[in-house]
Amino acid sequence: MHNFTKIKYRWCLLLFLSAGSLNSYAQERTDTVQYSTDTTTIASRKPVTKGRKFKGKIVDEAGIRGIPGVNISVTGFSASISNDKGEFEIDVPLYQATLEVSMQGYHTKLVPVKGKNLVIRIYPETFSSLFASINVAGGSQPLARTIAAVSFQNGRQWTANNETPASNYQGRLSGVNTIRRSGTPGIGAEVFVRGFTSLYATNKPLYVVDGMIYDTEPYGPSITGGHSFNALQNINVNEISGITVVKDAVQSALYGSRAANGVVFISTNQLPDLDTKINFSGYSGFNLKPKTYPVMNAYDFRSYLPYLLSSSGLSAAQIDALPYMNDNRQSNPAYAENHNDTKWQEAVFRTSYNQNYHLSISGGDNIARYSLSLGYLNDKGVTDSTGYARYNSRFNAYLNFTPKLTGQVNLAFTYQQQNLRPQGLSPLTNPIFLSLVKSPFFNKNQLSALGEVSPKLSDVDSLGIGNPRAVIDNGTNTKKNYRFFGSINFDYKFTDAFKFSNLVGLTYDKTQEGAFIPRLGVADEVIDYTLVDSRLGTGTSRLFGVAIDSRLQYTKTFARIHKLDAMLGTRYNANDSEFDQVLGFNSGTDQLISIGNSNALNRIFNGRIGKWRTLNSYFTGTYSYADRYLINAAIAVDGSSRFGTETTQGISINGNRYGLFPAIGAAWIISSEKFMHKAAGIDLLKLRLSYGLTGNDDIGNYTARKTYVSQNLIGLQGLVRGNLANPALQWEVVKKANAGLDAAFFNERLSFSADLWHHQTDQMLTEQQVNEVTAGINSYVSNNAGMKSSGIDVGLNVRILNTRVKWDAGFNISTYRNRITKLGSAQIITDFAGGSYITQPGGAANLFYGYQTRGVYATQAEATAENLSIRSQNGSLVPFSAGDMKFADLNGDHVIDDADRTVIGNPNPKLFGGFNHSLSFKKWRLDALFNFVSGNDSYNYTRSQLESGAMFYNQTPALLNQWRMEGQVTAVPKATYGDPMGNSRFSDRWVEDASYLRLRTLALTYSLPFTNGAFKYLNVYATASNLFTFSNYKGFDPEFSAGESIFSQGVDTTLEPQFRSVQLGIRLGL
Amino acid sequence: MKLLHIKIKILCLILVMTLAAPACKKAFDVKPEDEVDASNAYQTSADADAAVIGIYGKLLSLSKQYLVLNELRADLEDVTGNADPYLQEINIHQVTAKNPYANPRPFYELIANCNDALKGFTEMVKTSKISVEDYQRRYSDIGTLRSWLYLQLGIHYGSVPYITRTIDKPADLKELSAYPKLPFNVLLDSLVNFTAGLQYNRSQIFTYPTGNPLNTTVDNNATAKFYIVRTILMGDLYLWKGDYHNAAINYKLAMEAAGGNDLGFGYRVAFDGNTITNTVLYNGQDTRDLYLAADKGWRSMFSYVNTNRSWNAEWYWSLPFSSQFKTKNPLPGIYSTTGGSYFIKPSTIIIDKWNAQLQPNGSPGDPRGMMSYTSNNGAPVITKFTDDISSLIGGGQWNIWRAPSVHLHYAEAANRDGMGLLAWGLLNNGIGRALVPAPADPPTFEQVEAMLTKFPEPYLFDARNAGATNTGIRGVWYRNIGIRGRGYVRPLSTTLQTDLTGLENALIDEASLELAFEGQRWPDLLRIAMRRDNPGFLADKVYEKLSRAGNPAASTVRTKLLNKDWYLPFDIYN
Repeated sequence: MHNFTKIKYRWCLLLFLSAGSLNSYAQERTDTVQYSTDTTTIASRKPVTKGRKFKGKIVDEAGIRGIPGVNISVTGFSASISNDKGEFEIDVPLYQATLEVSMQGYHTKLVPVKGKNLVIRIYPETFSSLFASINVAGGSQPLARTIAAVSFQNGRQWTANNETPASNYQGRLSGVNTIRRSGTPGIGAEVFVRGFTSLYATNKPLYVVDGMIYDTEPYGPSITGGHSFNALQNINVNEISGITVVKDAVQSALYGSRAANGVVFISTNQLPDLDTKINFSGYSGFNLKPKTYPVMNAYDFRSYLPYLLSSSGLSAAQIDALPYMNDNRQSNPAYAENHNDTKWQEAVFRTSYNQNYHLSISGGDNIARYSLSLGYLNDKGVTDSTGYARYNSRFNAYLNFTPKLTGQVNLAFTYQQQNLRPQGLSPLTNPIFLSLVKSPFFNKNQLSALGEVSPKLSDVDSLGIGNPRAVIDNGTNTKKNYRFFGSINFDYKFTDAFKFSNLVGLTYDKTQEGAFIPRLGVADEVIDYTLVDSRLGTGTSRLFGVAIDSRLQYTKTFARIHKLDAMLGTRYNANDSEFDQVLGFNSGTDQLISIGNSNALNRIFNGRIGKWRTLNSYFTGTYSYADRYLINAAIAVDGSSRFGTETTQGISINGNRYGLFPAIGAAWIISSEKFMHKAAGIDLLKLRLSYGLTGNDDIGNYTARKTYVSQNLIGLQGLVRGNLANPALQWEVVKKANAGLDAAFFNERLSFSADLWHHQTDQMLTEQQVNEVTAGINSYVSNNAGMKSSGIDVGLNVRILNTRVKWDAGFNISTYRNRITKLGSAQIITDFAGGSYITQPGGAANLFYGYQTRGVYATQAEATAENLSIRSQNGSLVPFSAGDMKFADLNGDHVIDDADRTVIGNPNPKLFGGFNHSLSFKKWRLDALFNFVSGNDSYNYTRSQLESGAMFYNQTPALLNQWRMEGQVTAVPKATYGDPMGNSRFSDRWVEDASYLRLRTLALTYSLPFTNGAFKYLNVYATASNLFTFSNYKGFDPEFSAGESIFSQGVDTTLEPQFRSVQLGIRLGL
Repeated sequence: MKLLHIKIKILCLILVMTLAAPACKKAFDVKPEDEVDASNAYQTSADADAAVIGIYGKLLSLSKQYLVLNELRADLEDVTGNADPYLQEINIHQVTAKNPYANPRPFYELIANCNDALKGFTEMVKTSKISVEDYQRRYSDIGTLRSWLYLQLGIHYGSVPYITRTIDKPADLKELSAYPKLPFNVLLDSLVNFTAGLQYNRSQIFTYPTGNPLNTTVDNNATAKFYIVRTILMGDLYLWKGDYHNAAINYKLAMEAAGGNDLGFGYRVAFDGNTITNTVLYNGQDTRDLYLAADKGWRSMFSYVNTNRSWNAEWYWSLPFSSQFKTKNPLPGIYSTTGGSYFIKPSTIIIDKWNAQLQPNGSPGDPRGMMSYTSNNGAPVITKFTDDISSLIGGGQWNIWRAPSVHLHYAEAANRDGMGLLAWGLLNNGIGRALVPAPADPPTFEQVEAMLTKFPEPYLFDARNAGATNTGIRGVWYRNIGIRGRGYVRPLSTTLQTDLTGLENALIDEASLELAFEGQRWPDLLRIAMRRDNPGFLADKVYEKLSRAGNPAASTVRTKLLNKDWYLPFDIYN
């Protein structure tokens, strides 16, 4: 062995002497094969095996048992198979080479030939390894040789409840901040890959499912208040076999103007084995009723209410005479209906059940392999009468027509149906909100004077608050949706090196909604001079998309050490969307619930048609030298119907403007270097660098075109100018730089990936205010802003115990900072839910912008001394008095107004990530996943309503400490009807730290022992979701998202809270 | 570097051309379907009509600003305690930067649409997509409207840039700064030149005759009077310029606009007819018992729908709000106590002026005042904008020009043109009575003949009326009873017929009594102050309003106005 090392060193020396030239001995030998005029298959069959013998052993993860039947090869040179002891012998070229160690069910390990007799551990695919294979554009590739910065998760997720592809990977992917929108089944999550890159364009990553772009845009707002569409709910998580998030520019550059926010590659039901497999899984369990929000009971509320009533102008005698204040059964005919202690939240929330069944059949022969799966899901919501049912089917087929022509078919059809109720900022119709603010002394049902309970629900109470049960029992909000997503891909291999592929795919999505809010039990409102009692609505949105993706791939290894991988392609997308919605009011009775029964005079019609086309041409080439130095160059040339014809960047071809998105990346496999050979315990050390441009084309379909919009004159329809068309309008440009390190040590017992990244958004879209008053237009859309973000992602995996008990731990943590570098205006202030965000150069985007408070004036003398006032509507000054909030007068003018606002919080997290533990012993396995977010502020809008002391809303017990008398020191200002002094205005009172740590899922699995027989396996398992949450946040739950826009992040708008759920399930294979 | 660029270009070209079959020129030319792409606009005469409708539809959004600027800056309106600081600023002529009422942007937004339409019409006629006649009507209509908008800008901002080109893309914005601010009188010259040069059929006073698609009935509204009347604007422009004769010519055309059934009634400020009653009425025969409700008589002109004959005998230009469609009526919001916030009230000046009038029967008080405001628990509330009850649910109308505004302007021009007698008659109790103050009953032949003015046009009026016994001899002006006559107040002294300044003062005063709150006052005061080069004419009136209201800014405002500092600030970059 000593000899071998010596020779090898000599060869290496020679290699260095030739200054890295390709004139090595080994290459000459392969060159002779290259002269062959026949196909290269012959070349591979006749490797020149004049290398050096090399011996080794393949062992299992514990490092004990040898594994037979493992393939060991040096690409293009030699191959071998391990014997029944796991030992093997293989010829290796006389210079450094990489052994490829592969076996079905195991990660393919890449091992540099070094040292002496090698013992190589291989791990099963379930293990978190840097030797996994990931799916990206153009097929799968080994992570250990990937230049891009990626986060990924392979393998199926069988155990989770209420997960959609967006939420499912929360806490598992470094650099990916996932915020579940609410506890509504199927609602999904916001996914921010490395923060955000845009203010007004989308910040969602691009999803590519089985090679085809998956459209996730919602085409129109939902009729149901607070609800939003989630296209990803059409994908059954059980069918995902791998997900890869590309975070930097290298791999995503191929998606050019759509890749600014990263690209998520999802693959479903990958190439199955030949033998027929039938897998069935099913679970059922409970969604537990959320813990209630602490609000006052009837006794407390009655002691609080008189203060509010008297501030509304009622005298003490009038207050005493009110039916809920008069406790005399005899003299008060309305005693019964006003003397209850109803726990309204109990009337709205419930413990419900969930169930999920999934069947898949796969198999085939050499010609065709298929995978067919069917799923059914029924997940009831924790709000009474809500729920989600989904039926999905997927058919994937892999066809070998001829040795040269192969095909792949992916067809998925999903139908789903949801029962919803209004949520969020729907104060009159959101049953959760109503259950919080409704006075506990009223009853759900109508009561007779004697207290007999009628089955009829009670109407709006004398304080003007509706009955949440009315919305639940008599209201309907349904959503029915289906999506067909299918593609056919053909691959034609001209030679081993050349391949032409063509993918043609269709997306058809249709969502139909209906809504009815009854008049009984729901407060009236005035909309456009119309008194609205019942509310009706219907809406449809539709998407039809065609995708064609043709590409030419070239893969070739020259002289074993020069590997070239290139792809040239063109992708065409045409999309056609339409959205129509009708809102109506005041049907004859609560039994007439369809839109046709609404009053014809005041129906509101909304609609939109959007069409757009893109043509994306791309090239990527990776050159790898000696499997150590990898360099990739890529460029995309993107045209889109959205781009203006006079863009400042890009190139012009045939009168159309195209954006250019180049990227370059390099990786250095340090661990394969000679000088690392003596460094024991290093399995992989890889340095990655990349830089490139990506774009964001979410600039509006027609914004660059001059258009005229409808302007009526009574019933006559005319046209007026709709915009100041900006023909220079273009994509946003996001420049991405990334430096990363991947490392695996100690036979992979410890591995990590760390990335340092920087994003710079140029040409960022905002509304440019027009300063010239004579322009006749106030603003236009312009690429006039810029933003920078930078951050760190770290992922770490450790096998802590590697004995009969196996304990794997994973940890990932990410952080980013964001700064606006340029804006078309001094600042942008956006308002949402009564709060404001400020975005200005030099600061981070979307910071909470409101008033600072400093407690409550205990005495009038204190208030007088400070001499602060507000300006009333007519401009006169109204001074603060005892019991009012002390607001900070930042500009010192003694008037508390907009100019005294300042940054009072940041909804962006400082840190986020997750950690997981997996313990297995014999047939038992325990998995726990935690996720955490830290340093993010939230605006608790719900609490701002529950502690405002301004309306006849039930309040939290905090209001029992409201200021009542001169000298009282308290943090809660006096309750005043209508809040004339603005004590409850958007201030730091409502901004809370929403950091949390959550035990996201806990799963215990037991594999029943079957050594033979009909079953391949049979597992039973129990899981729990959201079991524990540690947070100081005062709302239902610290995790929520009121909308996709960054200008609605961190606002708790009374959505359905996250809930705990527990399931029991089985999985079996036949 | 250049070579590199070319190489990149070639590479990209190859990239695109190799596989990109759909990459033809039109591949990315996707036109919107819920908006109209510019390439599809101005293709047919219906597109041209749509442009006209769109502009007038958008004009409605100016109503509130128009009324606030034209009245609250003058002396007939005052702010209430509810008024927001912006209205208070307008009231005391001290405007801060963000005051929305002082923002000229909404005017320029309409002007930009007008410019766009004018360009579109011109393109259409060049490519024969519209007939020359159709082109001329629409072009002169929108051109006139643009001149009116500029006249309003001139009145309130003094010097403004006169922009007649279109702004099609952001790069064009830079060129806006090259437009100088034209002083008001220079702007007036431009407006006179442009408006007088518009080609149209001068025999038709209303732009779109019956049968034109823009003259129709829709949603119970007749559209004929939605559009500006060119000849009245021409009269106004000449009046502002001091070209009284031409002003009179143009006004006279409008005064005689009505024909057919309404001959003798329409726009004649006439005494009662069968179905047309715009006079002050009283219950039965008792002249002391005034009929003050809005369903008939003088006040009904503010409540009738625009298909009503009485309404049509009065109004030249009026746009409808709608309770069913967009653009709800914002006016009750600022004037009404029941349907709005009651920001603006009548000033004590106008209330006192009305109270000081005498009715022919000797009773004190101008009936028109009683029908222009009411007292709500002692607080005076303007009622002209809520007489149409549909205005409280978003309907009603924005009434801009009516017969007395034209009569008074004509009289103002005629007085300056040496026709004091005629002006006096139109103001007081009619042309016939001015010529024959006390006719016999029935009038003698000589008296009847004397009721035909012997003046050349534009001062030729046939007011002959031989009385009830001889209905055969009736000139088209025989029903004219003068503005004061129709308003049931006593005629002024005949000495004014030869007192040019006195009569002019009386005409301006009368406009305040008849047209209070309708948007005429500030222009009237400004015009006279400029004409006489007497800023005190304006300053003293505004001062009196403010000082009587106890407003501490009164003296400052007076000084400011005396210094001819009449205009709102106009900063191109705002």
